[in-house]
Amino acid sequence: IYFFNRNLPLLSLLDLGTPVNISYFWNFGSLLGLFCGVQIFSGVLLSMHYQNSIEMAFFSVNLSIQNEVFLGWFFHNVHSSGASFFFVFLYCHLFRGLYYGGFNQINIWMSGVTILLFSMALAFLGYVLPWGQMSFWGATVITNLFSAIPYVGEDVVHVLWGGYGVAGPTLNRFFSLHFLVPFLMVMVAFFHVFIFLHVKGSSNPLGGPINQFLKIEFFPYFVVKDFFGIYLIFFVFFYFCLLNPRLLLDSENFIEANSLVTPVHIQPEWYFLSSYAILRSIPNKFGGVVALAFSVLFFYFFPFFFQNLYNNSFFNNNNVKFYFWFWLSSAIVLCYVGASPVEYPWVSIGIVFTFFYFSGFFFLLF
Amino acid sequence: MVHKGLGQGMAYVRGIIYYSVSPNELHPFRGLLTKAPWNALRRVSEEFFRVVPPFAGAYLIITWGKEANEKTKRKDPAFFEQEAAQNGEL
Repeated sequence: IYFFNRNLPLLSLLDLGTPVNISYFWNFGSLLGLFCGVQIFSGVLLSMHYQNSIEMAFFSVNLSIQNEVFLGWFFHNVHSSGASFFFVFLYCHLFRGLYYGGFNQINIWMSGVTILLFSMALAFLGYVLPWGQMSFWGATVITNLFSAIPYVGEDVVHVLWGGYGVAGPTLNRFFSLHFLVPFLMVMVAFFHVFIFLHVKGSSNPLGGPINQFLKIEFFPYFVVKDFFGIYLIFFVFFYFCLLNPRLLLDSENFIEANSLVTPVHIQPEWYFLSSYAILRSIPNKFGGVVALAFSVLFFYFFPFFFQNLYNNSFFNNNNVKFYFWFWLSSAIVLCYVGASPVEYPWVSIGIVFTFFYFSGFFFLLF
Repeated sequence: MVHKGLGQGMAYVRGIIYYSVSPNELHPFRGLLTKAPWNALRRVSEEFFRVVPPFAGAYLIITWGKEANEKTKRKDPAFFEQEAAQNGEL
C-alpha cells in the first residue's frame, strides 16, 4: 500500500519534481505515450473490420475499411502514419538519451531499449497484415533470416511460418501477436516511467549535480509544455493523415500479395532501412543477421562501457561530440542505401558506412 | 499555505527552499532583439564544425552516389565521339 501511495501515476503527473532546465527534447517521452495510445485505439477500431485470412485481408483493408467503413479511411491513415511518427519520436528520444548520457540510469535505459525492440517487432508484424506485395515479400525476407541460426534455424522458421512458407497460418499468428505485443509493451513502458524513472525523476541537459536541487512541480509547467508540443506535432500529423497519407507508404503494397511475382525492390519501411542496409552489406548470411541484431542490441551495452561522471555529453570532449553526429549521419546514409538497389556504388557505400556505424561504438570504448 | 514537500504521499522532504518572482518583475522578452541574436550566433558557431561537416559529407556522398548509379545505366558518350564525328562529316 505504501508503494502505491508513494508512486500513484496520477499524483506523480501532478507534483513530481522535474528539473527546471529541461528542453523540448524532453517532450518526446510524453509524445510517445500519447501516440502509443493513439495506435492502440486506432488499431482496436481497425481490428473490428479487418479479416485475417489471405483471401480477405487485402480487400478488407483496401476496399472495406478504406471505402465502406465510416471513418475507416481516417483511422487507417492514423494507424499507418502514427506508426511512422511513433518511430520518429522513438529515435529522437533514443538520441536524446545518447547525447545527454541517459544510459547512466541503467534500469530506465534497459527498459527503454526493450521497448524499442518490442516496437520494431510490432511494426514488422503490423506491416504484414494488409497482405500486399511488400507485406508478403518483406515477411518472407525477414522470417528467412532466422534460418541462419545454426542447427535449429530451419525448424524455427517453420514454427514461425506455421508451415513451409509465408501463408495463411503465418498471417493468422502475426495478427494475434500484433494484437498482443502492444499490451506487453505498455507493461514495460509502465515500468520504464512509473517504476524506474519516477525514483530520481528526469535528467537534464546540464548533467547530474543540478538534478539534486533545482526542480519544480510537473503540474502545471510541464503539463502545459507537453500539451504545447502535442499541439505543434498534430499540425504535422494531420497533414499526413488527411492531406498526404501515401507519402511514407510503398506503392508496391497496393498490389495484392502474389507468391509467384517478386517485386523488383523489396524494402522495409523507412524506420528499418538502416538496419536493412547493414544486413545487406555483410556478404555472409549469418554474419549479416548477427550485424543486423547487433546494430540494435549494442544499445544494451552502453551503460557498462560509457560511465560518465557528469551524466551527459555536454562536458565530454569534442571528439565524442563529433562522433555522435558522425554516427547519426552514418545512420542516415545507411537509410538511403537501404532504399537503393544493390548496385554500384551503393554496395561499397553500404559496406563503408556499416563500418562507420559500428566504429563509433568501438572508438568511444577507447 | 503548508508545503508538504514535492509529491503528496511521498516521504516528507526537508531543506526545500522555494524561490518566487513577482509577475511584475518578469521580463520574458528583454533582450530579444539586442542580445538574443548574438547569443544564438555564439551558440551555433560553437557547435557548427561538430554538427555540420558529418551531414554535409553525408549529403555529398548521397548526391555523388546517385550520379554514379545513373551513369551505370547510360552508355558513356565519350565512347561514341569518333563515330559521331564521322557521321557528322558524312
